[in-house]
Amino acid sequence: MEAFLIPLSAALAVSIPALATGWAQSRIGPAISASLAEKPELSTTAILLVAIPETMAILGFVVAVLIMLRAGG
Amino acid sequence: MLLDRAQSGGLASLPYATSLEVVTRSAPLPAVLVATVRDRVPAARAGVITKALLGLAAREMVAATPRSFVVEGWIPAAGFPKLTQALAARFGGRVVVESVAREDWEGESAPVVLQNPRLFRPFETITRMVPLPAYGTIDPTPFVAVFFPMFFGLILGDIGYGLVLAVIALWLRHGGAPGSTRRAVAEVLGAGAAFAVAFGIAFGEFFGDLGARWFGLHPVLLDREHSLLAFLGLAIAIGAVHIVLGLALGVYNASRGHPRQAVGKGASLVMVLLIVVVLLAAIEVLPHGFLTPAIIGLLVLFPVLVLAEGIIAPIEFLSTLSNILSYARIMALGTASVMMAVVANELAGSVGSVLVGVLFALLFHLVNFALGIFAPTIHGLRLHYVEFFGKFHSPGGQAYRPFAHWRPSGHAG
Repeated sequence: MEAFLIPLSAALAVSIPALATGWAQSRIGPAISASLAEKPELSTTAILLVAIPETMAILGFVVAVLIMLRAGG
Repeated sequence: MLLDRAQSGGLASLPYATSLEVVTRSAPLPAVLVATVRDRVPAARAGVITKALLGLAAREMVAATPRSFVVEGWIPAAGFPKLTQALAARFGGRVVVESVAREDWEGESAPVVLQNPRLFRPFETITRMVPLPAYGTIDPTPFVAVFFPMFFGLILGDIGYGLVLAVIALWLRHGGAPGSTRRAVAEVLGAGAAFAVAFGIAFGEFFGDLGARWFGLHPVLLDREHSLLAFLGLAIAIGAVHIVLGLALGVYNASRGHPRQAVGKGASLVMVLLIVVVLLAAIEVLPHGFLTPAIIGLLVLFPVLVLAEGIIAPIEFLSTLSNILSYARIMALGTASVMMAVVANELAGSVGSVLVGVLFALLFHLVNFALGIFAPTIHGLRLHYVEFFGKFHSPGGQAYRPFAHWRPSGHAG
């Protein structure tokens, strides 16, 4: 049972935050594109705003690695 | 048709030129007008017109009577003696240069010039991509010049990829004129490539594990493929250093004029350091005796932080800590990079035909290399703009535009 649950939890740890990141970026992308049409000089801010939610996916990856290393051996 | 006249005859032939001249004599150039011009003409021609408009704006700084004139403008402090000498040599005593002290100046705030040693100058491109730092605050370029290529190298961390990137950077630099963006980008990439080779030696990577297979390359510092936790620790430690540096710069920036903020930033700086001590003592890297004094220090500093920066301060402090964790991306991307390279090398042997296997592996390496340039750049920039600059950067500087840049082309009036 454990041999099954550990990889599953690692997979969930990386996939759920990744989905959340995707959802957040899907909301940020259109909003910032709309602002870019008005103010092209905001392009750097645009990249930043889209990049911010990535943290979730990356922390999820780190947690998944920790789960696999600590429990999966 | 309008455009052709605008280009050949200068601004005077534009339909609204008459009203424009009247306006510019009394007030700054209306932004609406610039916008109108931009909307009506294609970008390439808009440049010409914008330049002409800026020329008019520059004329605003000049006042003349039949026998005398006054020109008002900014010059970098370092260039002032040169200007005085040049004017004295050319016009003798007939032109008087007077410098107005910044305290007496009541107009708009001083424009900003970034001045860095030649080695750091290409990295100004990175600083310029966000709004310029306000006058009198720290120019982050020297710090960017050290940490950006370092993050790049930590993520790519491969002798082979680094050398290929160095060749590409040399080719890019060769084609760019001195001072062009292309050359600056090439030099930033070159610095990244140098760090990638250096960390490649430290991690013992040459196109993934190819170096180890072919000529027994060994990791000097750590093996990224297997000791993931050590790499994670390294990434977060670098993050802690970077954030503490950012907070220190924040203290310096705030100490001029915002003593309260400076105290708050200083308190969070010391608290970050104390938390590091507590964590190190908890996992017994430091002696256990450090634990109690560090925790007492944290408890003392917490009310100081709240008093200095208000009730929101604890939340901001938490975001500082999560900023440090964000540097875990260096480890995540670095591990992904080495794993992809290893997979590519294994593919070469696992397919039946050697030729197909090698071609497939080359393709895989190519994809990984493209990712290996793209990902460290985007994430290196992000770590700087969001995590590092957020701690001290106070935007709002106006770019310095010397008169020479404003000369309208093909229109002398």
